[in-house]
Amino acid sequence: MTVDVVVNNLGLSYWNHHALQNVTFNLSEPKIYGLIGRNGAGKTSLLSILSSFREQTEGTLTIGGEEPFENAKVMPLVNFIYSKDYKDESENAKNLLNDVERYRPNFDRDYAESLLKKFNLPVNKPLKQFSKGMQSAFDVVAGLASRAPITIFDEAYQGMDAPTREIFYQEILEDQSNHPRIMVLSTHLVSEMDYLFDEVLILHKGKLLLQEEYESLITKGASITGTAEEVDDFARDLKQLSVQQLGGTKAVMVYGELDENKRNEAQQRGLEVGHISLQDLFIHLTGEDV
Amino acid sequence: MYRKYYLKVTTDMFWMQFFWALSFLGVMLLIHVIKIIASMFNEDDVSTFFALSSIASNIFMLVIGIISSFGFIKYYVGHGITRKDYFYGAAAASVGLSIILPMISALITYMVSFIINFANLSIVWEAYKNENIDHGGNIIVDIVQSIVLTPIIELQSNPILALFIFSVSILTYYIVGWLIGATFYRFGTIAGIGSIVLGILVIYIEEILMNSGLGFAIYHYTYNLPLYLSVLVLLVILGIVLWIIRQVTKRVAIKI
Repeated sequence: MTVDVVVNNLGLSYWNHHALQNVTFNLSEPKIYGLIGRNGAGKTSLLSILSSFREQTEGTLTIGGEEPFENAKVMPLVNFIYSKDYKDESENAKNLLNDVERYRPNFDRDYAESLLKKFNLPVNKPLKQFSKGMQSAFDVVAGLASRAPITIFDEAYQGMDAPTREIFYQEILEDQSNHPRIMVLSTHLVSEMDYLFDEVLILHKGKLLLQEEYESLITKGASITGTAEEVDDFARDLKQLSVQQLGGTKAVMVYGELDENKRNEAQQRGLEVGHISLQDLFIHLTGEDV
Repeated sequence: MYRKYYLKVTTDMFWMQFFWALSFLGVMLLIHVIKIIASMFNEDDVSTFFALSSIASNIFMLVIGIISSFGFIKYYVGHGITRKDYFYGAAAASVGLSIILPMISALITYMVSFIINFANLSIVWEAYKNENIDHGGNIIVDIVQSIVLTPIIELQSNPILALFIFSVSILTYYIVGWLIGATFYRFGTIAGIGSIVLGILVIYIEEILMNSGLGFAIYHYTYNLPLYLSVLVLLVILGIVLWIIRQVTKRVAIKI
């Protein structure tokens, strides 16, 4: 079955709080979607609904044309990986993976075992004795090896050190290219993970701010680097997001696409024009003054 | 294939809880052996393992009923299993466990008895007294008594009936535990406390029905119901409680 995700005017309210409002988007192709948003933006609420952990209060959601909530055909196709609490878990990784294998139709045991080795995780030790980073790595192993057509990682890197996170990112890229699926990565670590994203969704205060291809999104702004005077002069009329200066060299992030004239002007002034970082764009778009 | 998920849940939950039950019976056996050894010195009567485990199993089942609602629903939904499949799987596993636990208890009772006879030890078995003290209609005392005591048929008098009464009793406690756990999970403290009141009421009614069906004296009332009718009424009540659990868990949000 095709497992495209169609979200239409989705909302989630409880008590008097609107966690999500009028969220509309499609995830139609097997690629990596980055879901970014500030704390409390509604990322986990949205992902909980996608994975049938909870039901929306407004709007519709279909996966492969069917409503997923309590749908025995759809629910096993979605795997939601989040930071689980293993402080009382006396089972070891091997037994826990046996359970995953029983319930996830596409689970690849060999791949799971190769990942355990890559992450250097002991097979026979109870998970409660793992460090937080190792527990997160175990979740990632189970999540990747399940090969669910819709795989969601909600800040799944918690507690992982930098080299472990790097293994996680490399595996995402490699396994995604070998077994394409819809993968959603929700994160705070925008600058570290942006290169993984094919498409970006930004959630802000319960509303979807944008959904756009990563490559086209980062042309929404530019970084201008050169001598301080030239940069200041060039960027005077542009919306500046951030400024960095080292000695006489200055780098400014500007928001808004540069037209052909402006690019020519930059060249004449000897300025270097590069892409804006997603992180700067994210900070600008979700800043309090917006 | 997806239609078979509840069977997997049944199998998994049954075996997991079965091993918990074995550990629990192991601890009870240790207590029983200590009591037997003590009785050889102080010449006290000893209750049978069957009676001892009957009383303790009620609380054991209440506790794992509560755990079932908190831990397992999150676990299974996390594995892509519907709440419906979890519910049917867990319910079937609880019935299976309620049948097997008394059988293991009976087996241990026979084995202990065989070893004691073989070793020619003089142990006096204390017959369990199905008596409730009349407190002149004080319902609170009656309710506390119904939780602490439970109608028991000893194995030597009627093994099939003994196993059946044991099963029905622990199944009731499991379902009550499940109800309490599920209500706390879904609605929080206030409704949870309400579910404890409802649970105690169910246990109280179970006590009255079973005692009535078995012809035992209950408090200051005298009822005499045919056993089949008592069991039938109890099964209807348990069916209603299961229906409530299903309604409570049907669309419950999984907290992460």
